[in-house]
Amino acid sequence: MSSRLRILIVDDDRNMTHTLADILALKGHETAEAASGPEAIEQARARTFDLVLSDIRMPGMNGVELHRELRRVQPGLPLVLMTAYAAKELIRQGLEEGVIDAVDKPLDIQRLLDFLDRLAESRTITVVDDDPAFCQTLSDMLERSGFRVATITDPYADVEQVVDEAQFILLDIKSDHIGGEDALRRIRARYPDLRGLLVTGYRQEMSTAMRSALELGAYPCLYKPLGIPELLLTLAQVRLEQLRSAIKTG
Amino acid sequence: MKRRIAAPSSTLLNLSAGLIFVVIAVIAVVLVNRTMRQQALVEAQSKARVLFDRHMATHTYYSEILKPNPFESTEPLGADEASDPSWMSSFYAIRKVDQYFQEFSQTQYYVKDAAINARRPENEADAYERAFLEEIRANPQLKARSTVRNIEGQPYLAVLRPGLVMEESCLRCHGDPADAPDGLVDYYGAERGFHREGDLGSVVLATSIRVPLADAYGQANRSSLQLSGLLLLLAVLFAAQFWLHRRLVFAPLDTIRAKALQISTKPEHLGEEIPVPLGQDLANLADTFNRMSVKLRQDRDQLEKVVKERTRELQEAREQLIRWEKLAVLGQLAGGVGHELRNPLGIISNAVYFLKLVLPDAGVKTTEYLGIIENETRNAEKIVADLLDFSRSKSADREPVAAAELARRVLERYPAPAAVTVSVQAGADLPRAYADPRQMAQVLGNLVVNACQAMPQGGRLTISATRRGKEMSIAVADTGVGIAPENMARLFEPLFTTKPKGIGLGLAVSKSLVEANGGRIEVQSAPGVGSTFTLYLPLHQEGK
Repeated sequence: MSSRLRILIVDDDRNMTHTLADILALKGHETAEAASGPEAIEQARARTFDLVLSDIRMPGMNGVELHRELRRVQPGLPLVLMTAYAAKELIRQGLEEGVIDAVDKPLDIQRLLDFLDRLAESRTITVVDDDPAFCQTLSDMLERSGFRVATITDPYADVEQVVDEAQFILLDIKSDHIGGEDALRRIRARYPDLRGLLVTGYRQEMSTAMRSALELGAYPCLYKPLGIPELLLTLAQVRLEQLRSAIKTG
Repeated sequence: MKRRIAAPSSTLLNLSAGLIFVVIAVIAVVLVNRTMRQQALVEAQSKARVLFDRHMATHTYYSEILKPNPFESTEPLGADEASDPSWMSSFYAIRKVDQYFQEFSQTQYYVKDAAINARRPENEADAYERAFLEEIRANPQLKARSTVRNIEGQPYLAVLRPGLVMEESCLRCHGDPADAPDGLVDYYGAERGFHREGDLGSVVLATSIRVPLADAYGQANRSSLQLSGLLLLLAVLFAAQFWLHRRLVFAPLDTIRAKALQISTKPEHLGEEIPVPLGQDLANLADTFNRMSVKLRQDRDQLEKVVKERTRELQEAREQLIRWEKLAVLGQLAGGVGHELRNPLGIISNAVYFLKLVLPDAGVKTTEYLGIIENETRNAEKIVADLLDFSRSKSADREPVAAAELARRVLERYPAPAAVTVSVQAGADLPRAYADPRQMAQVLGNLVVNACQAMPQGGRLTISATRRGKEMSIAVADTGVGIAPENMARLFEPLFTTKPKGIGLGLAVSKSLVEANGGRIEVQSAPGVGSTFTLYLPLHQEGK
C-alpha cells in the first residue's frame, strides 16, 4: 500500500485551496477542496478522508467549529488548522478539543509533506488475535476508517513481525492462553517506548491476567465485544499524542 | 527723637508723652518762678511796712518830742530865730540815718520823703512820686500805692504812702522866708520850700520806699533754673531710656519685621539672616528667626529639587507613554497589514512550489526566475513575520532553558555563511535561564542574522553564555562593521534601520520579547571593530 492520503482542503480563498491541492496531488495524494465549513462537512459525509487542512477563520463557520462537526461525521479524522491571524484563543480551544496542530500561513510546504508522511505511517495497525473471524471483521471496519491493517493470528509470531512498521498494535489477551501476555512482555522489553499498544480481551476472563499486564505499563485497555466508535476514539487519542510529539521533535 | 523706620503708634505715643512732659515742665517752672516772685513781693512789702513804720516813728519822735521841747525852753530867751536842722528837722535826721544806714548796710533800701518844691533837692519828688502827690491831693482817701518798678535796670518794689499834711505851724518855716528863722534861710537858702501857704490842709509829703527785688527775683530765677535743669535731666534720662528701648528692642524687632516682609514679598531673600542683637531675649528671637529662615530655604530648595525631579520623571513617563501609544497604533496597523498579506503570500509561495514541481526541466532562466520569486516571497514573509511578532501580545510561556541548546537550535535554523567562523562558549554546567524558549530562539536568531549581515566579508561570530549573579547573560558578538555612535540610542526603536532592506522591527521586537521574559538587552559597539549584543535573563530557580 502506498502512503497516499485522502486530504480535504478547506479555505474561503479558492486560490489557496487550489494551489495547495495541486501541490499535494503532485505529491501523490488524493485531494478535495471546500470553500466553507458546511461544504467540507458535506464532502466528509460523502466520502472518507485521512486528513483535513482547514483555515481557521472563515465566514459562517470557523475551523474549530468545523472540527467539532466533523468529529460527528467521521470520528478520529485528524484536522490541522491553518492560520494567517493571531487567533491564540481559538487555537488553544481547538488544540484542547483535539486538533492536531495549528500552522502559520504561508505554509512551509516541506514541513507539511514531512507531516503527511508521518500521518501515513500512523495509519498502519496490526491486529494480533487468534480468532481469524474477529481479525477479519475488525480489519474491514478499520480499513473503512482509513487504516492500513495487518492481521496476525499466531501469538507466538516474531516480535519484529508484529511491530513491523505499524504505529498501532491491538493485542488480544486471554486468561486460558498465556500467549498474549507473553507477547506483551516481549514487545515491551524490545520496544519500551512503543505507544500505540492497545490491549483487548473479555472482561470476565482477564481480570487477573489484566492486572499483571497493566503492571507492565499503562496501556489503554478495551473489552470485547469491541464498540467500534470507542475503539476509533481511543485510536484517535493515541494517534493525536503520537502526531503531536512527532511535530514537536520535528 | 529721630527715627529711621517709623512705627507710627509708638512714635505718636512717645511724641505726645514728650509734649505733655514739656508742657508740665514749663508750667511747673513758670509756676515756681511766679510763686517765688510773689513771695518776694510779700516779703518786700512787709519790709517796706517795717521801714515805713520805723520812718514814721522817727518823724513822730521829732515832731512830738524833739522839736517842741527846745522851742518851749528857748522861747523865753527869745531865741526863736534860732534854727538848727540837726534837731529841728526830722527829715534831716532821717536823711542822715539813712545815709549812715546805707554806709553800714549793703542793702539797696531806699527811703525818701518826697515833696513837690522840697527844701532839699534830694527830697524833690520824681515824676512818679509827683504823680502820686497830685493824685492824693485830688483824692485824699488814697492810702498807699505799691508797684514794681524797673529803675536803672533793677526791679524794685516801690511803695508810696501819704505823709504829713501842711498845717499852720508848718508855715513858720515854709511860709514867707522873711518870717522863717534866720538859720533856716542861711542854711537852705531862700528859694526852696517856701510860700507853701496854698498847701494848707493838703498832703504835701509822700514817703517813698523802694525795696530791691533783684536778689529775690534772682533767687526765684535760680530756683527756676535749677528746676529746669532737673526736669531737663529727667527729659534726657527719658530720651536715653527711649533710645535704649529703640536700639535694643524696637530696632531689632523692626529688622525682623523688615526681613520678614522682604521674605514674604521676594522669595529669593529666603534663607537670609539678620544680625543678632545684644539683648538675650531678642537675640534668641533673632536666632530662632534666622534658623527658621535657613530651614525654610533648605526645605524650599529641597522641595524645588523634588518637584524638578518629579516633573522630569513625569515628562519621561509621558514620553514613554506616547512612544507606547505610537507603538500600539503601529502594532495594530502592522498586524492588520501583516495578516492580510499572509494569504496572498501563502498562495504565491504555493504557486511557486507547484511550478518548481511541475517544471523540473525548465530552462535556466525560468528556474532562475522561479528562484527569484521564491526568495522575494520569503523576504516578504520575513517582513510580515516581523510585523506580526511586533504586533502580537508578548505573553511568554516561560520554562527552564539551557543556553547551549538554545544556541545550537538557533545556529541550526539560521546557519551562518561560510565566510563566518562560528564559536559557541556555553558550559554544560551553566544553570538554566527561565524564559520562553521559542521567543528567545527568535531573539537570538535576529541577533545572529544581524551579526552575519554586519560581516559581509566574513569574520567571527561568537555566542557566549555566562552566569552573572542572579542572571544568565548570552552575548552575540561579531567582528563586523560596528554601529555608528549616533545610531546607538535609536537602535531599539521600531522602524529604525540602517539596512537597505528590512523595516527595522527586528531589534524592537527582540527588546520587547526579552523584556516580556523579565530580562533586558544591551549593546556595545565600536565602528570597524564589531558589535556585541548581550541578553540578560533571569535564572531558573530550582525547585520552583
